[in-house]
Amino acid sequence: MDSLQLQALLPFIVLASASVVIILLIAARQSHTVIQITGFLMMCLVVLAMWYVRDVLPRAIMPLLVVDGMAAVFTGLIVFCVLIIGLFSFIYFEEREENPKEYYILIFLGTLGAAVLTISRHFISVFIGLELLSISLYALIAYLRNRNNAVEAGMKYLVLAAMSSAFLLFGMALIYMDTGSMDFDGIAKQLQTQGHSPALFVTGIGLMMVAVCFKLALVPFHLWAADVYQGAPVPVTNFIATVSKIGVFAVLVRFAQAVQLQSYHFAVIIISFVAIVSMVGGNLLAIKQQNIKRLLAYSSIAHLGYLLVAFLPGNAAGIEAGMFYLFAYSITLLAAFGIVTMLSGRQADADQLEAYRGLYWRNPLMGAILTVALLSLAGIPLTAGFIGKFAVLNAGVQQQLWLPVIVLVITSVIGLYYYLRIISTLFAETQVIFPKEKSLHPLFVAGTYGALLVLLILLLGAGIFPSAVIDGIKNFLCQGFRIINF
Amino acid sequence: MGTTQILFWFLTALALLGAIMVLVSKNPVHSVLWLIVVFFAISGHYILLNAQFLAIVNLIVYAGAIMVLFLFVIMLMNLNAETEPQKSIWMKFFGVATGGLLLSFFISFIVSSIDLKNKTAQLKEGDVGLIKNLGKVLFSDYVIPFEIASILFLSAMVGAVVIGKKD
Amino acid sequence: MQHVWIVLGVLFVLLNVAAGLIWVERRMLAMWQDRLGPNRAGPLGLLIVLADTLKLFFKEDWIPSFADKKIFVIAPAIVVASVLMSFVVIPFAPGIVVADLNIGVLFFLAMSSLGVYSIVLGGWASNNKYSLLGAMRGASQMIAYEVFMGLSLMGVVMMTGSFRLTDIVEAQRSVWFCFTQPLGLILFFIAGIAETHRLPFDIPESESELIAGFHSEYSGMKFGMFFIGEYLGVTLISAMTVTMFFGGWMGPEFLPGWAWFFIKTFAFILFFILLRASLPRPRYDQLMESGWKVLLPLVLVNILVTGAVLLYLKG
Repeated sequence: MDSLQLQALLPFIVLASASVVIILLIAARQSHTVIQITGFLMMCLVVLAMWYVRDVLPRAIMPLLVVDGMAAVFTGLIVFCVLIIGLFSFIYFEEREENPKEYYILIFLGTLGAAVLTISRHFISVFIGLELLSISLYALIAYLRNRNNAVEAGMKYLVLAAMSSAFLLFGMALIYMDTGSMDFDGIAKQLQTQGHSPALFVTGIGLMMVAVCFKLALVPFHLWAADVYQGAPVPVTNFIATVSKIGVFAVLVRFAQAVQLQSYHFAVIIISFVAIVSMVGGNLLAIKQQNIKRLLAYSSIAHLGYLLVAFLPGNAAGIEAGMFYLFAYSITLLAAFGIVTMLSGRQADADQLEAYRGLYWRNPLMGAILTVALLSLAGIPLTAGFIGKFAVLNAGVQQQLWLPVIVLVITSVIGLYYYLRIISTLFAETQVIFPKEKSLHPLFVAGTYGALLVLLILLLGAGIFPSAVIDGIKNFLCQGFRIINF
Repeated sequence: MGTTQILFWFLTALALLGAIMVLVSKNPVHSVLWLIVVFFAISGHYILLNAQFLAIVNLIVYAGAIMVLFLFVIMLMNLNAETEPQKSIWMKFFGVATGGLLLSFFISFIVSSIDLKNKTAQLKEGDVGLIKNLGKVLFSDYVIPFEIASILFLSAMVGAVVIGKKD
Repeated sequence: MQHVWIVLGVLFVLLNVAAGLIWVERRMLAMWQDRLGPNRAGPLGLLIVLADTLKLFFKEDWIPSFADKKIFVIAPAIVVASVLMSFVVIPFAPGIVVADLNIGVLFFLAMSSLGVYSIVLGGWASNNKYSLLGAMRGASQMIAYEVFMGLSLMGVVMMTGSFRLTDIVEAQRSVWFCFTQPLGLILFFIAGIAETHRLPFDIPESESELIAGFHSEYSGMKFGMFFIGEYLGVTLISAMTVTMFFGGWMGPEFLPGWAWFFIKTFAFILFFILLRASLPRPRYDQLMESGWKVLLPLVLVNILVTGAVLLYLKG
């Protein structure tokens, strides 16, 4: 490994050391505030490191990793999400008796797992990254042990995630058996020389899709989503909904790009099927939910279904659309869960729809942000969600994927119903007295509101001037598509 | 049939027998013991592939430590026939049906796979599994995943402490 | 053909040593406790070995009706089998080794980690609460101590650059590893005592609180197997200590290699017995705490320092 490769890995090394720094701070008995600020600064340092190493990209660290433009986009998005989630975590955990310190270690380790996924070009690094992500999540989901649903949710996730890892490994093993390589490029090369669609490869892809669908919570592997979203602490729910999905999607994109997954008929059928049932199932199941965390869980199932439609074409336009969609989806969910975090009290999360009755009159800013976030989820114009959905539709129509596109449009209309239902609750009159705001350090209240405002601006900004974001993504991707000479 | 082949078939039969017994044993402790048998058989396969380090670590870690913890937990749980939840006949039926489908699926794929026949594993060849070569590879080519794996354990450790501590 | 003789010879010697230890231990304990010990049967009471063995053979071999029969029978066999398997890799003298594996140290660790099953299964299958308690304690104790037992040997392995036990012995031609790895030696020996669950670490049996713990329900030759297994374990740990830290068969020329090996091993067996005679038993939580919080970090420090020194010496 030469120094340039080491340099390219710098952001990831900083990310890994963040957790160690936090461990040392905990050992030195530092307060929650110190840990929070250090964590925030470490994440900023990661961003700085990414900016610092931009010139050495793209660089492959053989045989397992490659740091290129696509990895930079995905990692950037992940780190951004963690920055925001970290901020929200402070006000969430400061209210509770449980010691929140180890929480930050686990969050950073999970982030590292997701970041490793984005730079993987080999099954081994994929698996290690995925396990790092899931193992951190097991503990994070059950972090507030004394809550009713926390341990149940953690257990559910543990059992199902372990099961899906087994599927993933079996799939990898079959592909390895067929092609003799675990390297994405190596597999692609071998498949080209073989020249026919090999049965083992097909089976392997099928098994791996099970695991990927599980991690992305796609129907029919979505059964964990609602319970886990509900049982986990809100910032963790936010983490699952954004970071873990970005990581897994990054691997999916990279693998599909290498082996030309979309050129296989069977793969297109599987993915279309999953996308369609996810869009339909997620939206239909969300309609009856009274619990906002569960509702967002089902809505995220549907959204990942939309994302798969962008993944189906398998061309540059599709990937760009997918990335934009992921970006829009992440900031939207960050904002939505941010509000849930802000409203959550000492005893329980603000997950009942009743807690939001008349929010707009009580706290206009929060009400407005949540409204915009929900509109963005619904895909109403002038929000990032609309542009995302538009880009996805565009990519789908170009490739004449009529069935998924039509389902997307119809289910979006269904989705509109339950988003609007929440929004109408926000504006409803209320007589209920709600507890006062928390007494927190003004710096953190300001920071949290600042983060929410940033998200709001991003949501609207990407909705009104999408070209800036799209061009940025294109730029990065061009860098990634440049052929790498080793 | 040479010694190696006889050993291979013996170990394979043992592994399959063990795996089936894990499933059909009524008593969970017996299941765990059969699972240990499976691990032994698999270690034997590793040795046939000249991966001695893997074989012995498989014994130390899985047979020696993890399965003891399994036993530990099962003994503390006091499982017996009365406490076991009764599954409905439909549950069993669908379980068998899906499992059988998957099995037939795999078998048909493997049988139909043309070029599988010339892809037999090479027994007693290759020296990557020897401890010296493995160490060198792990600390040169694969040093980053190796380090990430250590972080993985850190994560598991922190998680276990968080969940397990009393306060 | 020579190979078969080596196997048979090793087996014969080991079983006799294990049986002989019945007499040795009782005489030595008596000596240190200022009494006579067995002195009636035969010269110096030596025939007590035969008498004891015959007694074990003729006792009623009772399997409790409430026990899980198959596991109850298998459990005592596991301990003897796993310990005997460990002896496979030990070089008694140049050329006298059953199988000189290139993963010898790891093989020893694997086999000794399997020994825990006899305790766990024996205790569980007995279906007796004291036995189960003993089994639980045994399992957690042996898992805890197994961890740093392996790590404590890594210093030696790093200095030799090989897991093969003959290489390790050969590497001690100039200086024994007990001088260069003193911490490793102490930690390995402590772990060894815990692995053989001898006093002071006989917490799985601890007759005063658990009425013999995991083997309460055993009688006859099944109990005898546990008994023999324990003595074989003591011999094994002594032999391993000698091989890893005290130069194995190395010694001045006037005696052959195997003789030096046996003298050294015997010294450690006596040390085991002396420990039994002199030390009290710690509490269970003390044992676990010292294992995880003191000994494990020490082992890691040992590895770190060894590695650093080796790198420094290499330049």
